[in-house]
Amino acid sequence: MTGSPPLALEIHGLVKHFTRPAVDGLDLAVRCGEFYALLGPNGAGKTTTLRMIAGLIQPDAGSIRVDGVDALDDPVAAKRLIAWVSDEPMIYDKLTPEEYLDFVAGLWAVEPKLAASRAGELFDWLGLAAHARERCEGFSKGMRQKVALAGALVHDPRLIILDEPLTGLDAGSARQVKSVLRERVLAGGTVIMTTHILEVAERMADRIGVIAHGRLLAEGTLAELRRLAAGADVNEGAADLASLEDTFLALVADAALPAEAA
Amino acid sequence: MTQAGSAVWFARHESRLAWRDFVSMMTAGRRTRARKIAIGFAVFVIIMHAIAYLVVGGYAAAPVDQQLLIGVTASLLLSWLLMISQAMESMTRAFYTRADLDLILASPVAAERLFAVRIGTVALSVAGMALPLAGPFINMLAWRGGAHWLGAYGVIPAMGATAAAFAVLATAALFRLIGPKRTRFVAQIIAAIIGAAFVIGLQVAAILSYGTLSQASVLHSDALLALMPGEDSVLWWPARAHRPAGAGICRACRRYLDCRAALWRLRGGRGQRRCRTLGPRAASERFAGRITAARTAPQGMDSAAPRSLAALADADADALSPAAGADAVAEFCRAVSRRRA
Repeated sequence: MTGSPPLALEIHGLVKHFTRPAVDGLDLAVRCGEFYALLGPNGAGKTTTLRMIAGLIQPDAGSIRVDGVDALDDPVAAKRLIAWVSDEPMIYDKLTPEEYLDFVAGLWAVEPKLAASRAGELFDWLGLAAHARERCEGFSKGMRQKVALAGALVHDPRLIILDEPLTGLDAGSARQVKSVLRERVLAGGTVIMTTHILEVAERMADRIGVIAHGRLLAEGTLAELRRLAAGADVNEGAADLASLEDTFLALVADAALPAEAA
Repeated sequence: MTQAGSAVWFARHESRLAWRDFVSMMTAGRRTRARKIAIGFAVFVIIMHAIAYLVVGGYAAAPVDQQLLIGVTASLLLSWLLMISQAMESMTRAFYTRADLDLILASPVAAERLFAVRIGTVALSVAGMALPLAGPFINMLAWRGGAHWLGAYGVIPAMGATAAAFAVLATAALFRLIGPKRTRFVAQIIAAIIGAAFVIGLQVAAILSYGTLSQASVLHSDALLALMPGEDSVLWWPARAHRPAGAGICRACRRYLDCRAALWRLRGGRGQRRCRTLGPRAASERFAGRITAARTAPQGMDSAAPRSLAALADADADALSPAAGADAVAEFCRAVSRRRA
């Protein structure tokens, strides 16, 4: 008998209201060792969902479990397993990448020697070794993103949450970031990423979730989503040729119609 | 080695950032500018001392009367309001503009440590910014009036701490009332109003009451003098910070001993039961021992011992406290006076 694969993230009935419902009964499950892309139009609730997983916002209802740990009951234990990189990551201008990683490692109580060793590996991997002792204030956006990513990885998280990690990066920097994330997943880590760059989701994600109006509209591999968007009576070959963009727009449009009718 | 994630660790981190920000702001990355800044600061200090000498030098040896206390207290109040204003602005900056909160709050470290360090940093920075302005005046007063004026330096960090505490309370209250988005904007408006309110208030009072723009006319007016409490009032304690410590400490000791007496009375029931257990001899030895420690003659205690134990604690608590308190304080004051002479 084979059990279901372990889940890195389980969300049930997640709800968050601001002036309007931002997340409205979201259910989501991400398997360990999976690269999961969360897509959705602006205002769909992607960032709010990720911030609730990272423990930055308290949900109004629902549950979040990270690697089996209830993130609402024991947020400290859950945070030990998570790394969060926002779309505009903050790194201290007046610190060097070495000092920044030392600080982040301290936040996660990583032993200093181990932290230094990991930092060296990450700098080499991300092409930051030559700049490890320069202050970050002169860094380009790509370099800052890489420093933030290095900071997220220095404490060896089980779950990496990234909000638009490739926005504004040049091709070279984007390739390096994608390479690091891919390696991370191959090593057993789990990555959840939001992105507006559908090509990235298309190429990198094992599974894709489409969210709109605070709810998960559809979820699955790219092929599954294509067939779902095309409908059951459409020729399977034709469905497989549809791009993720077409698939995404079709799914989101379907979700928008009942709302507009209301 | 400081433990990572502790308050001290956060304090070191914040200090490093603050120092590098300060140096960068002052020097704009140019080393030669640091020398110019240092020279400029030295010139500023000299000029401030000269101004201070002209303004307050003549008052250093002035007798402490109500007029002086009002003037000093008004100056302290104005400074404190400005500190509150600065603290509120710093608080909103520390909790809103510092984009590293996402990083730190997403980590497993206890956020209270970070917030405690940042609040402490605000208090220190507020007090630190007041020092270059207040220090020259205190120094001139100490030079002209005696070293006891240096006690005024203790008032500055106290004012900084209370200003930061008030700012935290106000910001937290605004947060609950109007939410985080509007708090930042409203807090900055309130900070500006607080900072200006006292000065504007004095100006308005002067114009309406005396037809003059001089704020001093209000502070020196007979009407205000009549409203103010006597020179012994706790209201003047900050203004009296420079005075010799003995008188204040004596009063504080007397208050402490009066509180102990009140507690003694409250615990009188328990004392009675203990007396019954131990016997009258043990009770008088205990009380006599305490009185002896306070250097008060234990006269009359032996005659009290054979009395009814049920009434011992109440009656003797009333009798003992003033005796022990007054004599002990008197002895202390005598010792202070001998040292001063």
